[in-house]
Amino acid sequence: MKKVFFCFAFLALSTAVLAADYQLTDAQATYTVKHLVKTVMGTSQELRGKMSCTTGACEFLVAAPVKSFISSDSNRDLNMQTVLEADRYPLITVRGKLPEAQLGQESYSFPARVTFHNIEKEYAVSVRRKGAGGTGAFTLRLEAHGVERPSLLTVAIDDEVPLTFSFTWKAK
Amino acid sequence: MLRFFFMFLTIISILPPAQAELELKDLGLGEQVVTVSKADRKRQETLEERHSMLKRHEVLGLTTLGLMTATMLTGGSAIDSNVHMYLGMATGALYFTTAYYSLTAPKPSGIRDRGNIVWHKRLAWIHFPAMVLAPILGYMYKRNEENDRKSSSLVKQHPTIAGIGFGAFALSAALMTVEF
Repeated sequence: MKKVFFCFAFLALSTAVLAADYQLTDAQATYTVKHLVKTVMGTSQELRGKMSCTTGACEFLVAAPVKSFISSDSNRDLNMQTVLEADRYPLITVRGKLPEAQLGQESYSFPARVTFHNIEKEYAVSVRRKGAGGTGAFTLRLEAHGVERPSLLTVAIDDEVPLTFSFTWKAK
Repeated sequence: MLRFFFMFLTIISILPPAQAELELKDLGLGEQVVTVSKADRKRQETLEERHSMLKRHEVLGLTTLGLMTATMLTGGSAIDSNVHMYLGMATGALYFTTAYYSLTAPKPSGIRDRGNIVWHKRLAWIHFPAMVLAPILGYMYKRNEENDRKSSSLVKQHPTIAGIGFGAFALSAALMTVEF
């Protein structure tokens, strides 16, 4: 009986010891909105994230306030906040799981669940490793998230909004 | 035996659950960030009202620009016909309606203007006085011409002032129509 307890305790402890938590640092994300006559970008440096790795798999969650995305024009930012209903749905979150072994690869991709405008969709995220972090990208589709595309001169902006990001994971 | 059991329980209880899904509170984002307050709802309503008013401002502004162009083009025949005058009156009415939607659109506090909007607003300091002066001078000029009276040098500046106003307004509109 004693042996069984020791074995159980060992297993539980070793799982806990192998578990590693990482915190997101030096992260930023940039959206690119394309229109027939103009391409604009907005960047957020207020990303928060955590990754938890246990038994060979890593789970992560990253969030960014919608209002933290700043472009070169304050009027456009306010329009963006209106269209995205930033005060009703204040956060964009990205969460997913990937094998821990992938983190060591030069480049990798994995599925991630993105909650944007209160609608969750799955996207393929590609990442290029750089030290303890990397750079990555995925392409949001506005209409899939129920976002009414703003228009300029009666032409709506592209439905696809590429989102690029850079990040560093720091062990907690 | 019981001692080991309690020790085990203590260790387990202080360890984080290994497979629990990460939550926003794990990122240090409290309820005040995640939940929508009454103030947030109010701000969203303000933003939507602002958006709607500025859309009207945009449409009316472009229509005003069209009418203003027609007014400028008919300036040469202003003495012979009243088309220029009527176009000018319509332009003026639309111009001030356009301005009304811009000036009364609510703006959330703490927003500092950046980008083209800064120049869009600065140019209003040129076209607004011009749009006040030009119709008055135009009316005086037409009346003087009809009564064979000599116009003062300021009254004679009606086309110049209207031209400056038109230029500033067109530039202001162009700045915003390449934005969204």
